[in-house]
Amino acid sequence: MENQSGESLATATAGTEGDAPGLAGIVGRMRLMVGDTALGVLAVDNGRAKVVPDGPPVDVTAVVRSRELLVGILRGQLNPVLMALKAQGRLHGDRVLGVKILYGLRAGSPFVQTQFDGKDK
Amino acid sequence: MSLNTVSILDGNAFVVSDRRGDIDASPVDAQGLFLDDTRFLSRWILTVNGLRPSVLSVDEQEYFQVQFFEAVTTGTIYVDSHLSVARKRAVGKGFHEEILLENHDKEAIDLEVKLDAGCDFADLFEVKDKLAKTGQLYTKTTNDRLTLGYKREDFVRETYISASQKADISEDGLHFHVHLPPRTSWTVSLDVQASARATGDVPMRSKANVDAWVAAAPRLVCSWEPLQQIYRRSLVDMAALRFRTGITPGALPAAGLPWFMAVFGRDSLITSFQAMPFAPELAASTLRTLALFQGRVEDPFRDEEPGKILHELRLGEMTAFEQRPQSPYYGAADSTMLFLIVLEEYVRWTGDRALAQELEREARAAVAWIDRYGDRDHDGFVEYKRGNDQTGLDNQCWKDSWNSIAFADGTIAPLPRATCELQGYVYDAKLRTARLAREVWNDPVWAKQLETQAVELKQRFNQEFWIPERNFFALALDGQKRKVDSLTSNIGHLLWSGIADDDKAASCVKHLMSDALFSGWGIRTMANSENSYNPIGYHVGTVWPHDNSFIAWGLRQAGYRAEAARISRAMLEAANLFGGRLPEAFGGYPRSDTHYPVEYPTACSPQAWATGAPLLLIRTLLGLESDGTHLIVDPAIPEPLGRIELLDIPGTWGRMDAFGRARASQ
Repeated sequence: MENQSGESLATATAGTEGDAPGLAGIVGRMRLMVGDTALGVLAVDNGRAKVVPDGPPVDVTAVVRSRELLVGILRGQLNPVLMALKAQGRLHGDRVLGVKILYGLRAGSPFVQTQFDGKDK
Repeated sequence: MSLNTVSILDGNAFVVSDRRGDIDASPVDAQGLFLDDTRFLSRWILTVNGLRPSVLSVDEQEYFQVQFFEAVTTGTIYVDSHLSVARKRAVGKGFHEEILLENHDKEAIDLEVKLDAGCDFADLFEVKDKLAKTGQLYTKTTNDRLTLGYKREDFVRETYISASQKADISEDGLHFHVHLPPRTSWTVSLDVQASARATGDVPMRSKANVDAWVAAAPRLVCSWEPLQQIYRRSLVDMAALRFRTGITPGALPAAGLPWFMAVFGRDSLITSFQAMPFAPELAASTLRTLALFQGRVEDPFRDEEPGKILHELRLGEMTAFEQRPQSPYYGAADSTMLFLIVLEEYVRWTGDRALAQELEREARAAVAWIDRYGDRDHDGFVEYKRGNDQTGLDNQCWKDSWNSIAFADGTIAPLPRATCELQGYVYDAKLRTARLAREVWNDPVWAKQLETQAVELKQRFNQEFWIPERNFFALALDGQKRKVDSLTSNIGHLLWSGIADDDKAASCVKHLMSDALFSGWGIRTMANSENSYNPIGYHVGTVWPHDNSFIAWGLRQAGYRAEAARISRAMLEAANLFGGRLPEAFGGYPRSDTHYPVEYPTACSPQAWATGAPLLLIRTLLGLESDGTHLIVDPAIPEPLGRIELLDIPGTWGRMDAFGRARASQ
């Protein structure tokens, strides 16, 4: 793995909860992992999204190869199809929900301005 | 596909070989093992004592399985061969092959059996366009396995080859030393496995699976025997083309072998529509999958816009590295309307209101795309112009070759182009969505708005697309709002959408049935009176079975029973002469010149919407329709086709039967 920083994303995104218009109508929890390390859960509730500390229940798990990729996902800047083709990430569990969330974030993410470790922007 | 090749397929995995079973890929022949738009084996050549066996026969038992019978011959007719070879191959996530050698001689023989193996890991686009690779090829050998690999950054694809018998494994293949006593045989099983499927594992196809699929479809009983064969061929080919994404449940139709074994919005939707009375579950899978990848952002490279339904999703290297935009690509101006049309059709046939509830948000986004992005210049018509000038599609209607939208004098129409059938689809989509809004989503206000918009569109269309001096609708309005005045099959699509005024529809029907458009085998894509006409031009003169199936169905919808029956009969007769399987397209030569339809050189076969064409033609002949509760049967069958019975048609009614017989007047 290129970067397995174990810092919780929930810490980095503390207080960040906002509108994600592409997630309207979607409710679910996606665990966020870099390699074997769980860094938090993206909680989606009908157009709102926030990252909370890791813990059950989760509907789907996104496993990616680096923290940078995870940040890209949260900011809605990555194309999930390209990630899958390059084996940079994969989904386990409710994969339909997972694709909906990843695609939905591309339409607008509350984490676009979030400082992840102060070096992600 | 070349007549000298043999293809077996299962979803988007397929093997194309020569008639010996060998694979020797070249720029001329697209042979190989393909999966996820990547070639996983480009060389697979069997030799026995340095000789390549001669083919005796090929038994294409099932679409996913084939057997080659061969002999190791001496090269002279005066000496009999004493060594026969049988190769049995089945495709899955790779392929499995059994080779049987039989010594018919009274003497023992020693054989050096070799399988040369190699792979170029070409992206299907590289095969099609003859492009060079960028990454590194490698091979690895162990005692029991040969690995062929390719790596470009994170993109890794591998092929694993193993055998049931001890072999010398080298970087270029497997070598067996075989001693065969008199009148004995030797067998080896070979597994060729392709790695790195991007979308999850899919189980291998079995005969039981295919039999179950065919058995679940309505049963056809008919007096014209060829129709029985055509119907079964369509069902089996449809089974072969079922594609599982590994994400959404169920299977949807891939577009066609060999170049289009992928999710295509337009193709999957049209095929699902054709198959509605026979296998409505295809529509549900198609709608769910396309909804999942519905456009979210403005992305000119992919021609993506919010609410737009995709055109094509590819899984190969060139897509992964954005050398091609198919991740997915959204360059289709019609797929969004077809999505709405198929959704309403599906709900009306099956009564599955839950799917409509599930996809309400996507349907609303699709309508919003039509009005905001589809109508680029807000003149009230949907038009297209690609955002990606390098690798995007110039034409984003079903006739997507570069020269398909031309004036009668042959001049290519400037962009953006608003083709006539797109407007018909918008009209139909809005009326159908209005029904869903009223009956499922409980939104009568929106329903009324959509109906009003449809009526206004119909009025504008009949004024601005009509060419009074030629008495048909323009093929398109070009970028300068000029009427593109070629006579084409596109006007046939206006009948099933219902956008044409009755008097104008009548005039179009005369043109459709004229010698200029109707070849005797079917309606040509372009009339032979136009300057661009070419009987073997992809979209400017050939006959496309799916096009004809929709024109025939539109004729029935508009009340032209005899004309619909005439086209249906001609197309089914053509299918019979193609051995029951209609190709993607065939030549537009007049039937009076040839007693058989002339093949189009590079047509895909099987191709999904050509496979679906006989199904929609049977629906047309029987006049099958659903009013949401009952199955309506109103046959119009021409005399030579005699009697047709379609039993156990699924729908909101459970299962029902339809009967029809020819009458002298039809």
